[in-house]
Amino acid sequence: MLPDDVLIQVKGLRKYFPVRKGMFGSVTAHIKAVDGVDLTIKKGETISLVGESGCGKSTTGRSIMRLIEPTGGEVLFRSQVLGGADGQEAVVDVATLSAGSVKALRREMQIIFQDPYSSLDPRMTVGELIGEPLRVQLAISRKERDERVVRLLEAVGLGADHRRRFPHEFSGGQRQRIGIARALALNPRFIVADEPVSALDVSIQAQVVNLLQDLQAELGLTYLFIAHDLSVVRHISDRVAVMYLGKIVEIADADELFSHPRHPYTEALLSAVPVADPDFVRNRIRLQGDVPNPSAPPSGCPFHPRCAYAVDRCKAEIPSLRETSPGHQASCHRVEELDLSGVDTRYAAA
Amino acid sequence: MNNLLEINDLRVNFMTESGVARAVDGINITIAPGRTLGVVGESGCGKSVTSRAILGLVDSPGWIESGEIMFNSRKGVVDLAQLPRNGRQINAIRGSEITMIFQEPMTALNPVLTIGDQITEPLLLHEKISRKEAKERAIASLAAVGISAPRQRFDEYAHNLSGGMRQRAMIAMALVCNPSLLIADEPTTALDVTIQAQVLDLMNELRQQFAGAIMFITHDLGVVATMADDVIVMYRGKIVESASVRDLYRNPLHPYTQGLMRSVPSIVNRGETRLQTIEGSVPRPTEFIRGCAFASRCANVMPVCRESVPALAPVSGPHKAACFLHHSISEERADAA
Amino acid sequence: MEFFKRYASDKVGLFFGVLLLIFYFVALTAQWITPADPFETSLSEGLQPPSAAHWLGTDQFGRDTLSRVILATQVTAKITTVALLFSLLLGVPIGMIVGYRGGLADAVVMRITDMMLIFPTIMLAIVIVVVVGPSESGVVVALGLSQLPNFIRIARSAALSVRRELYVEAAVSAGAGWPDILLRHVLHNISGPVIVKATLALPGFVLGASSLSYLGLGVQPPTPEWGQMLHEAKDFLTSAPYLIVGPAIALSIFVLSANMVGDSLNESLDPKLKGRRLKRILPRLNRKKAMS
Repeated sequence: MLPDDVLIQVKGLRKYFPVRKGMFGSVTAHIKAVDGVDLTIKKGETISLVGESGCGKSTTGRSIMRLIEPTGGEVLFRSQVLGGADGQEAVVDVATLSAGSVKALRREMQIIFQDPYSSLDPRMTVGELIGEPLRVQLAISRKERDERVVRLLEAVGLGADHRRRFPHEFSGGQRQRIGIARALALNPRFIVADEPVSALDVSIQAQVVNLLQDLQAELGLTYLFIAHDLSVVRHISDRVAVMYLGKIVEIADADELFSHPRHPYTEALLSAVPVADPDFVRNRIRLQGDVPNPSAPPSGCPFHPRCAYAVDRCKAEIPSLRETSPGHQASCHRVEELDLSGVDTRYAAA
Repeated sequence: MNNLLEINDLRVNFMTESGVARAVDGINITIAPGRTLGVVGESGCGKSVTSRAILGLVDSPGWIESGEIMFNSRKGVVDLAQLPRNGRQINAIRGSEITMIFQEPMTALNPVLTIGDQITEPLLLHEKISRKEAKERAIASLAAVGISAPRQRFDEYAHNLSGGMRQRAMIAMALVCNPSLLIADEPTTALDVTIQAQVLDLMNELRQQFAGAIMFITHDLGVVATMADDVIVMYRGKIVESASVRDLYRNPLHPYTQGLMRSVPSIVNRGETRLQTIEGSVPRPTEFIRGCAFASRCANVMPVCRESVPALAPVSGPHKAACFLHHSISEERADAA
Repeated sequence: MEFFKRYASDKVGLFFGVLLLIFYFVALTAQWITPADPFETSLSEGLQPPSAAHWLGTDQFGRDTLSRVILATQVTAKITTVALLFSLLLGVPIGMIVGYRGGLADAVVMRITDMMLIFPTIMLAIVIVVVVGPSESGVVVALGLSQLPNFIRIARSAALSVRRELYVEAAVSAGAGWPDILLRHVLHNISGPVIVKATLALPGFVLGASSLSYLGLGVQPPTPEWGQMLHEAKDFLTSAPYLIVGPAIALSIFVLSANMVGDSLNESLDPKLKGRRLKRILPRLNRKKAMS
């Protein structure tokens, strides 16, 4: 069903949030937070979802994990826990699994949250926090649990003596390490990292990014990395998917995407990142206006009202993702004719 | 006084559960009219506290311990550090001669007043003009920050505007009285990249037209590079390096500045597989540290660094650094001199 | 531990806390510490003013008022504690569950509490006592039920806000089910506001119990109760005014202490209020020190 090297295949994933109005809360509209996302995640790779706030990248990550119920679509996952007793893997559709199976699936799919301040229960000790997944999932003794907590703490660069302390005694970077240790507790094979470094200071960001990469190399993890900081994304990702208004508009290998974007939105996004060089000559593609209201998306290509290259066809027809070169897909009507500039060419011109 | 603002040996302390924290620990800053000063540093380095001290907004549990903040106001030079916190003098300066843009425009705008009410408020407070004139000026200033249909926006509320529009409205509000100093505290941090780019472009444009000086506070080295003329880098309440923006990026002197620049991955090329890091984390603000506060994290640490505090001294021309790698002047010796 | 330290640093709270503890100590040991038998009548010694033998005088039946006040402390403490536990143990789980789960159950429970809250507490209690019958257990049920909506509401609103916390989502992503989350995360995080609410509700319980007894709907004579004693004393207000002194003072001090303790608990439990007083005062002191 799934090619051998594929861990997750997302097909037509949708998540609509109802907009309720009036006294009886009748549904007047839907916000299409995720609107038909197709995504293939290979074993051991880091794939990033980027886009601006409200583009649906977090909702996509949470729907894949079934932390929120998807409205439609399939999330095929190669599971070991739900496989046969002989260690056979089974391909399951996460979107339709029963609640009991979802609980078992949490052993294989974990999430690292953006905000290490609010994702750790302030009244639990670090030991209890990291031990929680072990407690609810595995029937192991308290002593064994404690030993595993110590090993996890050491794996993320903290000490055994930290487990009796409370989260507020730690700095932001250390808290994020605790969050990572917690996510690793059950030996997952897939981790959704939802903006794991955005809330951290610059010098701490680098430490956490390095830790995530070391753990990946050591444990063979597969990451879905959700971020808006494109510099970090470029550094950490094998492949990158760009989202706009609930849809993936471009997906490619990281280097390819950053040097040869094929979608005008990607180009604008790349050019908007401020470069830490005062001599850098800015050839910025200015986007007009704001992201449209997702409950009333524009007709045709959702990006056309802000697109500098839009033609009449863009207002009428919705483009679909098309392969422009092997592994590179973009959803733009003018993908063949446009010559867009990536970061490398911009820099070379400066 | 030729400078617009001169901060001399400013110290701001905060009372915390675990003792007194020296949020700002003896800094000197000068801003000349029309210049843009970038203030860079990580959370807790004292950059925001400094801006609050200038505006007389340091509130309990914090207080200005010592130092002066000399400001060249329209009525002559005043020491903002000495003015009573809610006195008539500081109120006359705040909101008209010195104004501020905050990080979170949603919380900085009053949800129950219209955008127009809020923009005309400083005008009516500080200038003797009629309501009608104030309205015209407010509309002109909304138009100047690129808000379309300013006449309609004038009567709308903050929640009707998008994040980028709100920040534009904040900027309009800050500029309507023609301040001589605009303090921007992380004005684009809460915005998306494409909106950030719009707001930064706008601020750069306004920078050309507007004669006043800007103090631009941020943690983002990319934003500073595009916005500032001069930059100071702060670490744990002290200025560790101060230079023109070009000197700082071409030739960072302080190990902390170097570390910061190296630890940011580049969007331009993928670079090495591992990022360079600054080990450890910032010491707790209440902890007493003998010698240089960065010594515990510094790769080039020397015995002297743990003994005395390096002074912020010139290394080449106006480029200053507080590091014994570049000079041997300690704060104690600088005080004695 | 840290909590006790913080509470102890609040001198006012500490004082009233000790006072409240004394009340409960008296209540627990009442049988042994009464100077005379609180039930022994002696008509010849009726309505005596305070003396060395009877510090607070005697009532119309010649019973020692001090002993009766002491025993009444026990009766009141028992009634209010049981009633408080009743509404706490019933209200908090209900509120927590409907708050966390939401849906129809939430809507139904909320409308019922709305209806109960329309009536003033004492009115509701009177109706319940009339149904259950005037007795100690009647008072307990009446007070417990009439305060129940408050506890359901406080637990529900606390659970509602905790439900949206990221750490609850983190627990869900670890595979924890809702009973587990309620027990481990929600209960833990709402215990602060609930304890405060309980302490602040205590004076209400005491006043309620006394009011019912005063109206003759609560504790029945000869068992002493503060309200009931006040009821008896009011007939002799001119001839033996000393009779109201004991129960009145006991009642006021108890209510005051419980209120003050509730306030102090609120400050020491809520991290946001934590050390607020301290922070307001300390910088000023420091500035003075720096100036001198």
